[in-house]
Amino acid sequence: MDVTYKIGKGLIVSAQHARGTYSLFVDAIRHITYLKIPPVRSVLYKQIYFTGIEALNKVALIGILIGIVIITQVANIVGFNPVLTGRILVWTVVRELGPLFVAIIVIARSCTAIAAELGSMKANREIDALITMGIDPYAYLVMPRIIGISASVFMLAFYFQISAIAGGLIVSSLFTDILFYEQLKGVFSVLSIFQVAVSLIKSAIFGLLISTISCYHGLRVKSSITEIPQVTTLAVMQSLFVVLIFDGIITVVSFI
Amino acid sequence: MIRFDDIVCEFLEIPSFDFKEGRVYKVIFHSDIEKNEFIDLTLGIKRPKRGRVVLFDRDIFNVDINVYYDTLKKVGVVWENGGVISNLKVWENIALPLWFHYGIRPEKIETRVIEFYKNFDMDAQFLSGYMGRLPGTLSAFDKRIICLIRSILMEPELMIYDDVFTGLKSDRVERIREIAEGFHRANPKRTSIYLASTDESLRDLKAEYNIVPDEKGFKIWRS
Repeated sequence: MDVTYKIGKGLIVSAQHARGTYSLFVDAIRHITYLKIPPVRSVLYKQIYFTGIEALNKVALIGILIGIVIITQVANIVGFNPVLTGRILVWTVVRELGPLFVAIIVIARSCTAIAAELGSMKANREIDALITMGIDPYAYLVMPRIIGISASVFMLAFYFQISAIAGGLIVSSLFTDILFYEQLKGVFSVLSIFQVAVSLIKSAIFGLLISTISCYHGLRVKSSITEIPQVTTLAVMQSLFVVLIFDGIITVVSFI
Repeated sequence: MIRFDDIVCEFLEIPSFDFKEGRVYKVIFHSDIEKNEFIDLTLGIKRPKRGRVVLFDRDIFNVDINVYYDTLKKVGVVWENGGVISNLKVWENIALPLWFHYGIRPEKIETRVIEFYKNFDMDAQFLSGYMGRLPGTLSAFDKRIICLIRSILMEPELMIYDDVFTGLKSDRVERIREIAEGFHRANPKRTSIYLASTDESLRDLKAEYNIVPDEKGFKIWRS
């Protein structure tokens, strides 16, 4: 009885969060025309800077390391074969790891920051202050963050994939007689526009999910500062969970 | 200008009351909770359990969202905690509503802002560093001044002062009062409402109407 009650309650709460997140997303997107207003664009640029540009070096480093690890493991199992290593790099990095790793990095950096920032603005009545200035918080705070994070995840995923492939191939060309160019040809022989498109669309969807979930939980804070750590944790956990679910769905729909 | 019709909310009950155009009101609440609820009701932030609030002839809880935000452009609120946006610098906070609604860039209002700060003995040289600061390090007084300038620049018809004098030295109280009174006089249609949760901070303020909420709604007397 107790277990059934807890499961039922959990499901109802999850459904309420899903509904709230969806309606926040719809409300935010309805305000997209506000991007023509300079202060709103300024929020968008700041978000792209914090989420996208400031994360570039970390994403590149992680990408290179992942590329090296994959190439080393593949070479250990099957030896250096340019076509096979290229194929495995494309399968792992472009199809899966690129969007997923970038999503995890953005969840760790920006999801927490946004949930905490909006939560603190809500608790300190800064959002009420915006409303009294006649400024719609969905237009000024939520929409530019959703667009900024989605664009950043999209660009970072592309950057991650290039770094991982380049890192892997450079290391492999250093330790074998196979030229970098030959290996690159191996990658391009298996890389299709469809795979790249699916990967980038997946990244953009991850960005939309992460940003909307972060904003939703941040705005759930009522009046107490003590709610902020709770909503931040929930935002991170839900973002991870939802990203993994959507990753599975998109992969199954696209490649099976 | 503001009409409360048979309001029942969580902490306040206001059977029927009108705040009229061009007047100065002083409202002393029993607690911060009541005072905050009054602000939230007036500005359409907290929906009452019963009744309606009419602000500038619009039922504030039953208007289109664009009309709602348009109506709020006519209202200025000087918050007790300053109501500043923590991730914006001082100059961005001051310029935000004008920049957002009318596309007026911050540089265009620079002269007016410098002139205003002279009231508080801050010259252009000091302000050049001050304007780039984030509000986290500023005092309650500094934040209230930012909020006051920001509201005044929007030329609202209704000004709400939320406990603005609490905790300030008498000379600063005097200056803010002079500015607020001058701003009120500049437009005969402008209404000013001073709110406080204790009698003390508004004792010396001259208002046409004094209001205290009681069990029958609002108890009012003229000064």
